[in-house]
Amino acid sequence: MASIAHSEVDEYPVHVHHQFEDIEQQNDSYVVGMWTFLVTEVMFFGALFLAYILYRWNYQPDFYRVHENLNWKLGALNTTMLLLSSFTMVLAVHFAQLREKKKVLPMLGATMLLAAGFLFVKFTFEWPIKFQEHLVPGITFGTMPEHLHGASPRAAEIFFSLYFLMTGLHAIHIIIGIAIIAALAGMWQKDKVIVTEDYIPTELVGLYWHFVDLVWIFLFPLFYLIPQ
Amino acid sequence: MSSIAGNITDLPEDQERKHYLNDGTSLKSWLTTGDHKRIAILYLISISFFFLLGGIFASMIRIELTSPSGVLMESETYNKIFSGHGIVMIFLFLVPSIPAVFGNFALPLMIGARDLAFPRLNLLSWYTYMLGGLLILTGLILGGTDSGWTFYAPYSSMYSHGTVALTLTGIFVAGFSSIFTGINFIVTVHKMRAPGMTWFRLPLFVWAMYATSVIIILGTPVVAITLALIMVERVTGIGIFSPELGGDPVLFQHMFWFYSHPAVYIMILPSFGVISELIANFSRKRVFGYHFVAFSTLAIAGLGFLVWGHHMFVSSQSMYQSVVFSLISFLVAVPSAIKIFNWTATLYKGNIRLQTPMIYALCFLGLFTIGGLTGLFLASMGTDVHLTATYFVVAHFHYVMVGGALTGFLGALHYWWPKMTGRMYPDGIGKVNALLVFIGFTLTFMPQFIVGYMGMPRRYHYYYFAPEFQPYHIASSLGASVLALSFVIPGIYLTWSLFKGPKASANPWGAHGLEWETTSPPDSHNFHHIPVVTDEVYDFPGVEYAHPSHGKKKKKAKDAEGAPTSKETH
Amino acid sequence: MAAHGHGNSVHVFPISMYAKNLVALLILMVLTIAVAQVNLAEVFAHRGWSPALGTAANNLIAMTIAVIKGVLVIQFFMHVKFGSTLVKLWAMAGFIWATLMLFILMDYGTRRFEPAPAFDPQDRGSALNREIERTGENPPADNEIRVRPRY
Repeated sequence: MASIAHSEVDEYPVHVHHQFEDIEQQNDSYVVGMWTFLVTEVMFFGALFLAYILYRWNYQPDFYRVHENLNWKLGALNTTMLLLSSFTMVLAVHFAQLREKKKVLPMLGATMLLAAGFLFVKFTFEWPIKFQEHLVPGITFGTMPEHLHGASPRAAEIFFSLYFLMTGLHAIHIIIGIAIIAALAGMWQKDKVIVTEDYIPTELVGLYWHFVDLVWIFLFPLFYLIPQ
Repeated sequence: MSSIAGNITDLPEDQERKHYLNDGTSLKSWLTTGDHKRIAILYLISISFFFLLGGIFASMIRIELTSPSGVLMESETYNKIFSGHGIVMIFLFLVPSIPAVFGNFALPLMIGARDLAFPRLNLLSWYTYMLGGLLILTGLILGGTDSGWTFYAPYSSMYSHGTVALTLTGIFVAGFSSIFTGINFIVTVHKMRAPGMTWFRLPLFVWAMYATSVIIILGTPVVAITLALIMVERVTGIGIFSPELGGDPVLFQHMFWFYSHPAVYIMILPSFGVISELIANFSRKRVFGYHFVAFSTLAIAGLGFLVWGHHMFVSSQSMYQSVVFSLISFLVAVPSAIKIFNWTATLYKGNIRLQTPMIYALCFLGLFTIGGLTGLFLASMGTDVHLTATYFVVAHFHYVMVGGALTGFLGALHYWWPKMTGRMYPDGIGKVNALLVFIGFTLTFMPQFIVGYMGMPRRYHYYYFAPEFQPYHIASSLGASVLALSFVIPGIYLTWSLFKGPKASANPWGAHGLEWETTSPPDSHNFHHIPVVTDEVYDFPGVEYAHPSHGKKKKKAKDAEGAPTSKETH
Repeated sequence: MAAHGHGNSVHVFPISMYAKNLVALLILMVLTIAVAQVNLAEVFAHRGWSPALGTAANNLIAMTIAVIKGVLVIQFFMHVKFGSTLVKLWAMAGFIWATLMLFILMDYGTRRFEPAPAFDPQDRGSALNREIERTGENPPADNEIRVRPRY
């Protein structure tokens, strides 16, 4: 009960905020809070997925023809990198649970590296080509009709609008994720008690990162692997 | 040992007791606070400012409509005025009002916690709200948007000349403020209840806050992304809503109303919670059918997500899907009706005391019933074809929003004012003002039902094609003047009470609830010892009512046998 | 390593569990690419079944694999399998957007049955707005599109 927890709180190196009774309540609260936030993110992306599904259902043949502009091999490479980064992230959490700082830092570093690689592939190989091929929605869209592969320009413009919107939003989340992981790694480097003695902050960052990976798991087949 | 002895100590008269308001009085201590009570006060001040702004817009609308061909402004300006009224009132006043002020203040007290789960997130929520409000204000000053608060595509994304992108950014940011509050409340209610406070001992206000937070979490992100898409489409031309780009405008309506219908439940459910508290405490009787009221709160939250299409009956939505939406809209009226019946049943054989908060609660019962019933006319497809986009709709939603949500807000303000500030306001003036609200409101909006049925379209600047509508509009504008007055008067006497009002005791209403067990105003840390809850909610016989003024000490009825009457500490 | 505090209930899982999941995810990714290369519409047409059904089968398989991958990530990488009921509930709650999707698709899907002349069942896109040619012989006249400032 409350009085017993108080004495243990004094021993516990991690600071328990005043509104919580003990560290367990604090950690449980943070985990539930993080999941609630992830639910909002699911709804955020979900609305875009909905729009995509609606238009793909109506424009299936056009989407198929124009999606050939997307290089599925690059997409597969990106997917592999993101899956690996999820793996390294969960290993970082694992080592955080065991309080092995020497193994946490390389794992966090690997996660950031793979994420940066993902962005590199996207922004160096995938996106610029679309600009050159006039496949970015706007005034210049479709002025090189050979890249439309026979799809109706209207449907193709919708496809690319959705492509840029969804992968762009996803890329923003990756950039934010890299920043957060960098901050976490910085705290580990400086031996801050809040991360070294309690694995929950690392776990929370891990939850966010796995969510980002989850979105990509659905984005990849929907955009890159459209069947005829 | 009673918790009172631990939580309320009598100091000598000359020594000012430390409580949350005077525990650190610098501006910095207020702007960097984590104390949920201080954040509630910050919200109260900001929300009042935005309410004033929205009210000024409303006054301009009502002045304009007194003549069939306009009085003051051009059509485009009129469009910007009513859009501004809608945006400010909905996003900056109604959505945050009761949760951000009274939820923040009373929720931790009611469940016996020291603070919300994430106090810093709470403060961030206020700052985000201020940023969003500032952006919207800037947008209004720079001209405003004439797209209506509904921002229908492709007008808002392609053709509107107003400050759409800026306003949308403000709404996007304000939406995050809402989400942060929602996350906080959900985690707090799940994880931080005092020992013995089971789910079914929670006051119904807490149930309402929880259900509201669930709606916020699930709905707000959808409108955030929808409005962000409009912004992106407007600025870059990448979009999915405009026909020029191959998109579908009706998709915008679907995505927009998916949030905006649950949003109206975000606005009304907290008010339901307040009314439960007011009616139970001022009839000194347990709410009739407590479990039914609690479950119907959750049912409204759930069903509310399935009815958005009733805003789109005439928007080329499939007839068959409209039937589905119409049916579910009728269903969602049922839980609300259950609550009204239960509250009315609570009054029966209760020990009713007609003080100011109770007057507001009774106003609510009548006005919300009318608002809800007129909603049914709009839910049935056939009548909706005639009534949609007329003043009937305007009257309906003002009845539920103003007659429902705002009345609840005023009732909560008058109920928790002594707890929040430690001062009592003059009850007589309060009661007269509540009646004035009722009279002004009815005079304003009842004629609008009639003129809407007769065909007056909404959002129209002119009605020279139907000059016979003018008497109704004039009656409505007269009522609006009375209503405006009745909103100014509480500002005056409540502010007066801060300086000259008598000090309030811990429980001036003789109400039941953990928040009435601490001092008025409460300590910064709420409770010295977290209470253990042993009695059921709204359990009245254990509490003795003491007159609020003259500083009489409140006596607690204690059983001679030693059985704990209500709360006890370790 | 001795844990501080009372019953610090940290479940530490073996790395092999995570490694197995990673391998499963990568295999599923390869599988989804492989199935996508197979044109089920043609296969179905060869067998005399409707090719549209083949496309639908392709979609279904791709989505099923994606869902399995998602479940693996959620259950094991995000530790939902070992979490409290509350966490499990919230993990499922987000997918309420599926109701949004369902109802909207029902709307567009039932439009064909309406007695409205504007909808041409042959052209699924005809319920959406009419074609506006950007390039070509008859671009829309300038006075039909009002230029407005973008900000």
